[in-house]
Amino acid sequence: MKHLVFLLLVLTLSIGCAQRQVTLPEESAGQSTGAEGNVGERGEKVEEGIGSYGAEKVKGEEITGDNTGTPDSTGEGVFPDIYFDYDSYEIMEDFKPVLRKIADWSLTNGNSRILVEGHCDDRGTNEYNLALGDQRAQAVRDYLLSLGLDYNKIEIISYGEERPQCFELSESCRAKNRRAHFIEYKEGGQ
Amino acid sequence: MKKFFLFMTLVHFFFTIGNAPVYSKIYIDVTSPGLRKLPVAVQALAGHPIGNDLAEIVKADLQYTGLFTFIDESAFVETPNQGFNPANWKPLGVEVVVKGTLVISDEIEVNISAYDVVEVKNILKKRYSAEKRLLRLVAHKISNDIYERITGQKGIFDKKIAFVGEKGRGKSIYIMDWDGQRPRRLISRGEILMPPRWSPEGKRIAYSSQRNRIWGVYYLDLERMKEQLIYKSKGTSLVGGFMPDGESILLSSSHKGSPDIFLLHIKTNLLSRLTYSNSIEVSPAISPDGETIAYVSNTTYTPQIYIMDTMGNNSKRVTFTGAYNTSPNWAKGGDMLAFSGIIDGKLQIFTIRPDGTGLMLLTESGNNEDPVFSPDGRFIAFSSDREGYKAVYIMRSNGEGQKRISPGQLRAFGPSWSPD
Repeated sequence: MKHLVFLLLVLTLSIGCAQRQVTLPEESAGQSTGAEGNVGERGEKVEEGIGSYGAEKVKGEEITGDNTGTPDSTGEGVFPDIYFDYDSYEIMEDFKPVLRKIADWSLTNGNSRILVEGHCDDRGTNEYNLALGDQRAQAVRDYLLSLGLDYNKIEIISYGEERPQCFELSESCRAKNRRAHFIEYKEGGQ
Repeated sequence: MKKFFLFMTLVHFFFTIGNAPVYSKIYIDVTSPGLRKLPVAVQALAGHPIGNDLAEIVKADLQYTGLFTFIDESAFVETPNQGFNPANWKPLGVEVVVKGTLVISDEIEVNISAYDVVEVKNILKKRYSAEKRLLRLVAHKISNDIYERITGQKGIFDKKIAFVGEKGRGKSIYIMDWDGQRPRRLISRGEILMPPRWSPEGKRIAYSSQRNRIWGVYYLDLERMKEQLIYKSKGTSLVGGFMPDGESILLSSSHKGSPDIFLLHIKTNLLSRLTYSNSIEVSPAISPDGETIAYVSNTTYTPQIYIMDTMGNNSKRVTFTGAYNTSPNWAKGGDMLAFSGIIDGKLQIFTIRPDGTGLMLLTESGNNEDPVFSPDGRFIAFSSDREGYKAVYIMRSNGEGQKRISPGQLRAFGPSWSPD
């Protein structure tokens, strides 16, 4: 188990090293689930060959590159989420202490890493919200960098409006969804 | 004179590409604003009970264009089995009559004739055959031919709409006919799946998906139903759409910092960067002539629609009304953009000219997103939550005739029309 965690860490650390090539697990290889006959309430059986277009070979190669290891689940939730104003990615003063704590923790745990997830509320379009989530996560990263963290210790990802925390349509609920969420990685056994 | 006409017809066949035959009468000028609806009768096809169903599909197609009125069947004097006689139709005010026969054996065979009642002539005569299961498609092809003969414009009734559907535990790519019939689930992958975009030759679709925390651009070969990863990187990569030559894909990516617009050359996997700001640049859409990119930027602190050339230069802001305008899409001809903007706290579909004039609000109920023009520019497919869940809808490009087309209770969004 310890070896596995260490392996994951190695994989994780490879992010950011442009030359490091880690082949994606087969998950990413193209596999279709095939056609499904019945869909929705109309329940119509649909058989027309979308594939009746005539043969054409498509060039496309598996691209190898960075991969993220699975985070150590015990590292999630140590630090609270921080929140953002509507359509904003500015770090509010109230939440800077949280980021300072994260920086302190990270600087005293040399082998630690942190994943910052950017999230949005349900208002607006999915694509723009993914961009907004990106900007939120990047604003957090920029702030952590300003506190002395190493660039390679911070990974970011945007979930846009795809992973809400709260599902009601009230403003208080939406405010909870406009957040950055943190997942800490540490070498196993610590 | 007759010989001259024949000569002109031959000339037409040899030299006209695409548009309306020059010699033929245009019954409806779809570009004319003060349009008079053409009174049409579509008779049940003789020879098989299903002939009625087929005629109904054709009628529904034509009816949805808003360009025709239909004479009630109960007023018909002529039966489907009788030959065309203008005297039976003139008193009803009908100007075009569609008649035909249907034979179903191993396959279906349909003969269709359309008649000009006023000038008493046959304006369309065509035979169709196909496998039995393709009845609806045959009907749509007939609709296309009638529509083209009457308006001089190509119909879109045989087009398909790809979209993202979510049922139970995951998102999938679906394809359905333009009228929402024959929905089919193609592939089910990915925790997060973004709207599919059809390739110009119609054989592939591309989409972005986040899997195991990594964003990738994927290709689905519709013929082999095989998916391939064609690009991945750090950050978020979102497919905007294919360039008209099919050789590159416009996308937004945040792998270099803030989201910017890139052009991904498919064969070489090379990225050209088109924008360089610290703000958000996202949702690129190429104009039909391949010259202008519409996109979203928040460089003025709120998301607004901009246009620029394909080198990333000469950017111009298009929208100035409202504080949230996203998801631009071009109409055929490049003279109109549809987008989704927030007004009174809700997302609505608007159209606007690329020069920023002519802003029009098309929707009012619920949140409305992802507008995409049909290949002929006359319809817009979009997603809406007006019935309590997100589903794919369609309307005419002036906002008329809004209706849900994706299957009921299936969460559906991100429609994309199959190309011409």
